[in-house]
Amino acid sequence: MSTASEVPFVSMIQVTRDHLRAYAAASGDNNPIHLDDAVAKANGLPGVIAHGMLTAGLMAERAQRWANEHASGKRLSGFHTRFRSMVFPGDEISIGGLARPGQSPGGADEVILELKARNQKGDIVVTGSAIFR
Amino acid sequence: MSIRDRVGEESVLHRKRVTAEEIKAFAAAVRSTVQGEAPPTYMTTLRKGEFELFVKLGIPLPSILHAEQEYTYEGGGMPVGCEVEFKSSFKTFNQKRGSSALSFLAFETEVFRVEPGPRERVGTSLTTIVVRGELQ
Repeated sequence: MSTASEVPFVSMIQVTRDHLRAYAAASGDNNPIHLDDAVAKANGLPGVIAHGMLTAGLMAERAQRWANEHASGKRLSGFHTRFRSMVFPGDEISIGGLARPGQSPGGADEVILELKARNQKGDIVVTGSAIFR
Repeated sequence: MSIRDRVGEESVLHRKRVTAEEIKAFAAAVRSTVQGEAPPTYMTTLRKGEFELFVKLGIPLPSILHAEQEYTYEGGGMPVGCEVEFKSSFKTFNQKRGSSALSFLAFETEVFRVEPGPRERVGTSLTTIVVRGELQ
């Protein structure tokens, strides 16, 4: 790619407590703040919150689907996420952003995706980047 | 010994087989369409060493929020059926003092595919967590 282009926002999930249980089981992250309202409240939260890595996993998938169409032959070499705001059961998460050309320190051509995950209110909950080389 | 003095502590070395069932369950949870190998963030399932360090450092799990996560990928990934070894280390500690004090701790996990050989690094994970309050 030679110029920056949009990565359209796509709705990835509407979070449910079943998703949190499934993600906990699949990931091994059984921190009770994701599973038990009483524990979450005792730790200053309004109730259970989604695992940040659930949204990160969805963001990686959004990046991979875009790369399959627009950067085939390149492989994910780096992925970074920053968790900005909490995600709660009932939230609908959409992910999109921008793609731009880049170059590795060694001179290899890269495609860099700068992504945002937002909830149904438009609040940014996770930001991230994915590098395909 | 203060928590700052414990930077550098390591978990034990863990080893596990990456099974088709585990990949299938993880891929379903994150809506992944990746075929035949682990999705990119599957590396989060290899946090056993981090959890071990949380216990050693006396940080209660429910007090932990995930602040940042970074992965670098090398080699050929984690295909179904491979075996990996991984170990975590406590990398950095920073504190924001005051009435709304926060403690930031970073943990690095290095992952190597060991079967089928030869041993090859498949990636590195850097997890930053935040804990409310000042840790001693």
